[in-house]
Amino acid sequence: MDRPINDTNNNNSRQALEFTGSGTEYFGIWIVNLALTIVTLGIFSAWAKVRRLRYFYGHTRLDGHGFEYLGDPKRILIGRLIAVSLLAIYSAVTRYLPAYAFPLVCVLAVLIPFILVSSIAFTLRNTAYRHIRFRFRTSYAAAYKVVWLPILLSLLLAGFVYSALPQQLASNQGAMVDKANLLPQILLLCFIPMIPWLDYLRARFVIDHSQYGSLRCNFTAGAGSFYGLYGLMLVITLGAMLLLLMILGVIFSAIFVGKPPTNPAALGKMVLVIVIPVYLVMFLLSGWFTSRRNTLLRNSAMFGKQALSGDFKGGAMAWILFTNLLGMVFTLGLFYPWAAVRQARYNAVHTWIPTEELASVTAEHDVDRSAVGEEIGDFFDIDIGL
Amino acid sequence: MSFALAGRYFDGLTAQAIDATLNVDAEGGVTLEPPLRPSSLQFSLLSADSRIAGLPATLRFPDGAVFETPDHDTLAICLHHFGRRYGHLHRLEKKIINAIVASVLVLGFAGVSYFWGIGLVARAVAPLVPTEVEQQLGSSVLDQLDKLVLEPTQLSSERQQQITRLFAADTAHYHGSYQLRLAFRHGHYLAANAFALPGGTIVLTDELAMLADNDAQLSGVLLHELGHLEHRHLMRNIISQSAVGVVTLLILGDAGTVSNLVLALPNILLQTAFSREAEREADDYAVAQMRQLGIATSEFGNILARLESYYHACRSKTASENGPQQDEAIKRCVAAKQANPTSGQDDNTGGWTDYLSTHPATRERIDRLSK
Repeated sequence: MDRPINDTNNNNSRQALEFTGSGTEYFGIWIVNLALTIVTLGIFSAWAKVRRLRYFYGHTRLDGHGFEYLGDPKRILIGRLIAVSLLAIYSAVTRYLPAYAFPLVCVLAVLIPFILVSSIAFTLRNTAYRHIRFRFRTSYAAAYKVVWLPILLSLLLAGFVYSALPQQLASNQGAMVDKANLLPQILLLCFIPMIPWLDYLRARFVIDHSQYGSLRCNFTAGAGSFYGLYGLMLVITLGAMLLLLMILGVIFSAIFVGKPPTNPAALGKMVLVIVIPVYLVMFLLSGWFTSRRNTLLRNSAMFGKQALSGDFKGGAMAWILFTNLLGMVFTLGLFYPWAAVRQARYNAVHTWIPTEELASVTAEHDVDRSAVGEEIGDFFDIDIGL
Repeated sequence: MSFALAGRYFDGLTAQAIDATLNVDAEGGVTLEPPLRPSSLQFSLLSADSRIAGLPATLRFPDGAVFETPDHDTLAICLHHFGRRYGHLHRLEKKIINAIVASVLVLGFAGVSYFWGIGLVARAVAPLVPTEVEQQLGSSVLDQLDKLVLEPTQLSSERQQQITRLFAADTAHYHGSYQLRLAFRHGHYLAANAFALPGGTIVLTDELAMLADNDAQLSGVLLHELGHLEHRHLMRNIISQSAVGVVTLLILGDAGTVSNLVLALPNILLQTAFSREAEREADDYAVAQMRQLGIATSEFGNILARLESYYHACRSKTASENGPQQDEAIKRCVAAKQANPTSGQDDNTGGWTDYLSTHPATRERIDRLSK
């Protein structure tokens, strides 16, 4: 399924990224900055973030040059202060004044595309390679389309489903339920089919508006490849769960035949027997999905006239995710620097970049954009990663 | 004194890297070899990025041009010569002893916050939440529970009045900030249960009312819930959760992409520890109040034992019954279970299931009460 690297006639011009950082070296940076962050009551966190990104960008190398992160810690700090206040307002309102939660969510929905754009623009503008900055051609109209179109469509779909349903529905306990009580579930179910489309729109939005100096990027995949990927993920997940259920069913019926487990300790062990395989399968699935998605994103991103390419492997990705989690759990999180470096190295060496046009790139200047969007995005967990 | 740095020059306009040497003379005049810039400029106009392990040093010209050199040592001497600092943060980061000190500090901070600091903050902040806000929260929680799991009570109105009178008598000396209210519901999925909602409402399920042998047992349960209210456990729990979220984000917000599982772990652990502590506090409150009211505290232990028997052997067996039949079924089943403890199901053996449960094991609670 992977696209071979030499499918173009000028395969020599595509190079894999390399990552030269080490977990041990990064540990010193991470832990000292974390301690400084604590001692300064969080104020230093902006400087810590810049040092982390400078380390990871700088050690990601292409053709003998490292990338650079140029974000200004003072602006990041201001962005963080705004983000923390917004988070405090958000959690206070949703917890203590639930009646005002809906208007607040509406305000956020209006703000989110703005946050998304500012955040991407700040990150790209502060990323450089060979001392030429990347940039993002801001388009708020396009951003609102990315966020709102799938939501509006899912609302429309939900409205259609709702009006088609009978007034009373039989619940699984046999009682009759008014359909108005099921509205949250209907809304959720109608949003699920939009997820691949949302992912596609976002990827296309980010890549289509990005450029490195004068070299423009564009996105060639269609929504179909995202639906294919998510659909396959759904089928594999259901299949894996069914298989797991059958295997566990056979095991349990063999062990507990005629003697249902009643002792709480035995029940606890039984839960472990179920939970561990489920988690292992989840890691395999998420490794598979992440690697397929990374590969799809890279294969569809054009850098000038040539496409990037990715050759991520599901098994390797799952192994990294799983062992990183184990490492973090058994070291109270101190394994984090090694985990982050392993992931960064794997991501780098499986990303191939066309280098032919790089040497002829010239700088293009853009107005600086605030870090507020990026920091708010960080806090509300709006992932904008490629 | 003059300095020579070998490296690469970028004009900031094109992607070309040109090998060059940057010379700084005794007066601080900067020139490049080969001469890539039309005129010389003062060294003080160049800014140096702070040093990061394993990366070349970067000197930035005012016009956006950049000079990169791997020669940190010469650059440091040069900067120092002109009265500027270089690489202090890097020196801090590369020493093993600093990493050890920082690890101890970070782990210590995390431990103290999770096991002590956050609980303390929540205890201090919870009483500051206005009662109206709590009442609003409590009534919206009850609305949700009514919609999702609870059903209207099946207790006779005489029984309801009798329990309400009992509750009024038990709380006659209550001088807290809440307007206390007792609500009856059929538990169904929640089975025999009682819980305190923020704002002063205590919900008692029919099943628990049926399970009680006498008024003293009901008083014990209701006073235990009053203990939760008086200690503001729900508000403290909500505040702790927010605080854990904020602290985790502050510490690991810089961790980039960490598995959500790792982020959720502190909260789960705290949750477990918190609810066990909360149950103990509420038990202590109930016992103290019962002593004051002259109610036999042993009855509180008895209702706990009855609850345990009920959950081990009778919950599902009696769930399908209704009204007085259910009352009878619960009492009969619990009596049978208590007469013959090994019947049906095993005793709670504790072990690791105990640590992961939100309530302390019943035996442990009863033992504490008899002290």
